[in-house]
Amino acid sequence: MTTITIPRIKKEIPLSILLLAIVALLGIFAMGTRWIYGLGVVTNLADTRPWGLWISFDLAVMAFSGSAFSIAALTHMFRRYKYHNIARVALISGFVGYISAAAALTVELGRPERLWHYFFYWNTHSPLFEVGMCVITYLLILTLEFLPILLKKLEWHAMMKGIHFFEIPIVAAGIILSSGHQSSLGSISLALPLKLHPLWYSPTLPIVFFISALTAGFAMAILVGLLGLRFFDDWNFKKGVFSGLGRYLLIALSITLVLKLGELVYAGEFNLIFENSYQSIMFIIENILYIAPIIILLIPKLNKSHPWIFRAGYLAVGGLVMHRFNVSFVGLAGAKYFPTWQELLSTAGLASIGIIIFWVIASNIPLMEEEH
Amino acid sequence: MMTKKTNNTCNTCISDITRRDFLKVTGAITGGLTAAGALTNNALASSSDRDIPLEDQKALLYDATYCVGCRECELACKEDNHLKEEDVDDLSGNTFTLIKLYQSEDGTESSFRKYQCMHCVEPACVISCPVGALEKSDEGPVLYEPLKCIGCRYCMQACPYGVPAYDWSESYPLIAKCDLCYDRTDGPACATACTPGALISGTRGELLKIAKERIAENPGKYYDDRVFGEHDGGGTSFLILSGVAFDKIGLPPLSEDSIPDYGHTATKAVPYIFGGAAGFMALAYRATMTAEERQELGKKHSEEKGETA
Repeated sequence: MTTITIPRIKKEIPLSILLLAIVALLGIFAMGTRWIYGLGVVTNLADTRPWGLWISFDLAVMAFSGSAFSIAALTHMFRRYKYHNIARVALISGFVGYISAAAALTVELGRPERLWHYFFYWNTHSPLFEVGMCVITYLLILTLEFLPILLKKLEWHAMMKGIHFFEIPIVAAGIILSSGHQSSLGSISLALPLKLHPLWYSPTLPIVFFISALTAGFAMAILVGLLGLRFFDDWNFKKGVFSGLGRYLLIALSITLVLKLGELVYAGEFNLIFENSYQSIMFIIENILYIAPIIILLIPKLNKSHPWIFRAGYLAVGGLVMHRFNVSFVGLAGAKYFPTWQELLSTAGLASIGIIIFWVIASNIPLMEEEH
Repeated sequence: MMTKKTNNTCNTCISDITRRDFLKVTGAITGGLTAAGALTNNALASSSDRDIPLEDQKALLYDATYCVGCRECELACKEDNHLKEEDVDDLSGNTFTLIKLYQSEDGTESSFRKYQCMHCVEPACVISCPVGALEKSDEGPVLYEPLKCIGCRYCMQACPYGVPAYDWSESYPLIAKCDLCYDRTDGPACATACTPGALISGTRGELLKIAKERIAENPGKYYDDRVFGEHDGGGTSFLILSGVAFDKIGLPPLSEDSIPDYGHTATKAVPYIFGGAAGFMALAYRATMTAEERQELGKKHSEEKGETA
């Protein structure tokens, strides 16, 4: 019998985490109000505005959880092994992201207690079914990918070997599932040809969602990796990892931009950008947030410097968050909507819970592979 | 760039055994998913061949030029469905049908419009519901199964007519909408209550014939000389004749394509894409192999062959 050591949470908790914990508690309180008083009282949603902040949050968080599959593909499928350490960081952030997205569903759905219906009542025609199924299976896969790291810490070697045997198929399945659901998130909006503003509506939405999830993945890996270097002493990455990620981000961002603007030109809707409406202004801001990091990453000196790669990263994250918000409420016809304090607070709470879980995992489980 | 395989002593990197298994597994997945995709898509195609032909399905014709706005239909609907009285401007969880008045600014043109579920031939709500709580019955009406519903509200978002509605006062709300009085044998309650003859129930084929006769007998009376719902959005079972332009009485500018047509190609493609992605990754995995790794794989291969021989 081997002894099992269960990791203990480190004693010193930084101030930022404590503050996040307060936000998290307030968020749980706000979520409680929804469970007790109901959607009608707690949110500003209506029959003509059925989706609000929570759905947009889900879409955005799932895009950033794309870090798990984009970096995993890079490391394991395309064998860029220098990204191995960042792949593990991305895996954990994707895992945490999906968990907070799933947690958001417990307030967002009218009947959260029936989430299990997904397993029993299938409607394979529905893009939302595709999303739900892929996310549930993918969470399982992410757990399997995460297990070796955990099992190593717990020193359960026999079980680790068992999982290890299937590692590459597991990674491959994870990539397929997340590519599937990222593009299905775009297909959801295909059913809204009359509601979604033509600046965003296009038959290419599934492809746009897929490519932009890859983009978001690279941007998120840059942000988490560089922030983590400050917070965790044991974090280390091989030379050139971030400028490499910056290069992939540049490529992915450019494809996203060309795809989106190109579609507008092709459909003859390019002039809509200048119609000076609420939607067109939001569209312009969104695209500036794509173009700015592209410029930064094109300048030879800047694309080698960590602070500038970091800046490019968060600009890109901003642009992608805006895209998801624009598709899911700015560009959607319906009643006027601004989230209530309960919606805002519970969303902030869910994000904080995610960051706290990430911090707990990262400060207790060694994510970095030793030098060899 | 690429670290040699032998350098990867880490625990979560690729081990020798998994490499060939991986190729086999992905091959199996590729084939399996593609086959599954073909099968489910075939199943989808056959499920749309309904037992009852479209022209024999239950339908309702609303001739707005006959409607006087007495709202007897609203009352009959409330009574038959045991719904609460309420004062609302739009369909809601307690109001399945509503008469609204359109009046042009100069007051020369006016028309009533009956709002209710259009019972589309290819409904957007049915295709969007992830758990299949909405269903197009063989008889025509689009039915809702409250016990399945998880409350995601995708149907509300997808319906081009804004029909499915929530009871927002509930903590754990459900959708509600007209079911064309599925259980009644003498036609929907609203139609039996309609005294001016604006609402006629019957089969879709009969009603289209009546509507077309009216159009032919009264040239210029009906907008565009056509019935709304014959082809709009893939067709509906609630047909509308109107004296004023359809958009003025709040009918959406749908093409002849149904909403599911817009997205279905994408959903149908999913299994193939999954298969393709698996194949692509197997190729990428293979193609990015270093010369050394390839050599070693070849060696293993020949060793195995030797064993079996």
